[in-house]
Amino acid sequence: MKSKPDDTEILNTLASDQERGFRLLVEKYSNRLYWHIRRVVIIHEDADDALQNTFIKCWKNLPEFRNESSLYTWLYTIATNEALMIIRKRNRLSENSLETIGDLFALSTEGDSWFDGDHAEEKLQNAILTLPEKQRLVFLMRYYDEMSYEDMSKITGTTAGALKASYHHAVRKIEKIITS
Amino acid sequence: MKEINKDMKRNPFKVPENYFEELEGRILQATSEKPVAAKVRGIAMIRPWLSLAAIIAGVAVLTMAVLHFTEKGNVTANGSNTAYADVPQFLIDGIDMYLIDMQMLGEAGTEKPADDINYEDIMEYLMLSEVDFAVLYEHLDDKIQL
Repeated sequence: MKSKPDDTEILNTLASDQERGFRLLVEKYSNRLYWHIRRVVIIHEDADDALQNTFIKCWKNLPEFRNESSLYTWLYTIATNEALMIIRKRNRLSENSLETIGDLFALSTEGDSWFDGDHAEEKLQNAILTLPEKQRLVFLMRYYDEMSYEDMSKITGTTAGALKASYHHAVRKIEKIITS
Repeated sequence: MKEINKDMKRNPFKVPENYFEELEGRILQATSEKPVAAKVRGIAMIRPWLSLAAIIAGVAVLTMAVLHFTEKGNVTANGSNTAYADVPQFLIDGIDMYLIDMQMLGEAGTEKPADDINYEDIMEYLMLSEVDFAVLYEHLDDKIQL
């Protein structure tokens, strides 16, 4: 099985052959970014839209990308913004409250077709949905993506200390909900 | 962290069959065209033509002024100025066009030129006007630095 290229190799290829470099970037990051976005927006169709927008923005802004930030955090920043835009748009347009994953499934055309969690997993997802937007992002990036606080800091523009506090606060809240 | 253990980390979401296999192709197709500069819209699109019209009108006004002052006093019996009467119609039309163009740009050029207003000024104004940032972002996303 072919190993995925590292970011330096992708950046070097982008400099010499933009299209080939971009293909490598998509190959390496599409799956990972999809799951990051999906956990934020819950609905598959929304995740698919946000992911495509992420790569389109990435493609358009490649000439402006500077090596000051890593490719990984740059892409996560774009993906996170796209996911948040979908959530805000959804909240703005919806007349009903969107507090549980069931509310979200009811809103979408796909329903719960692409969810196969058990009761405990549904409860956990609902508990995560109760968190404020930024705290939810912090929890998802740390718990599922196991991202370092340093990288999260670059993506969210918040200090590592504040992120640590936010994460532990989020964990306490979630534990309280799922044990109640 | 006792309750949120590793077992709960299992991904409860799934995707349609062959989604990831087809995804790369769809993304590459969506980005198959090279990035291009944003399209110029609105008044910015016709600005070069307005500038040209303004130059022509300016020349017309200058010509009329020269004719008016050099022929001063040479008035016909019905009171009209001979020099003005001799001005070709297209120059008179040019004056009207100039005035209309300048009104479109803002009261005969008395306003601050639009070029002096930069993107940050517009963003600041819209934000202070409590316009939804998400809406702004959607419309102006090409200009936002990520």
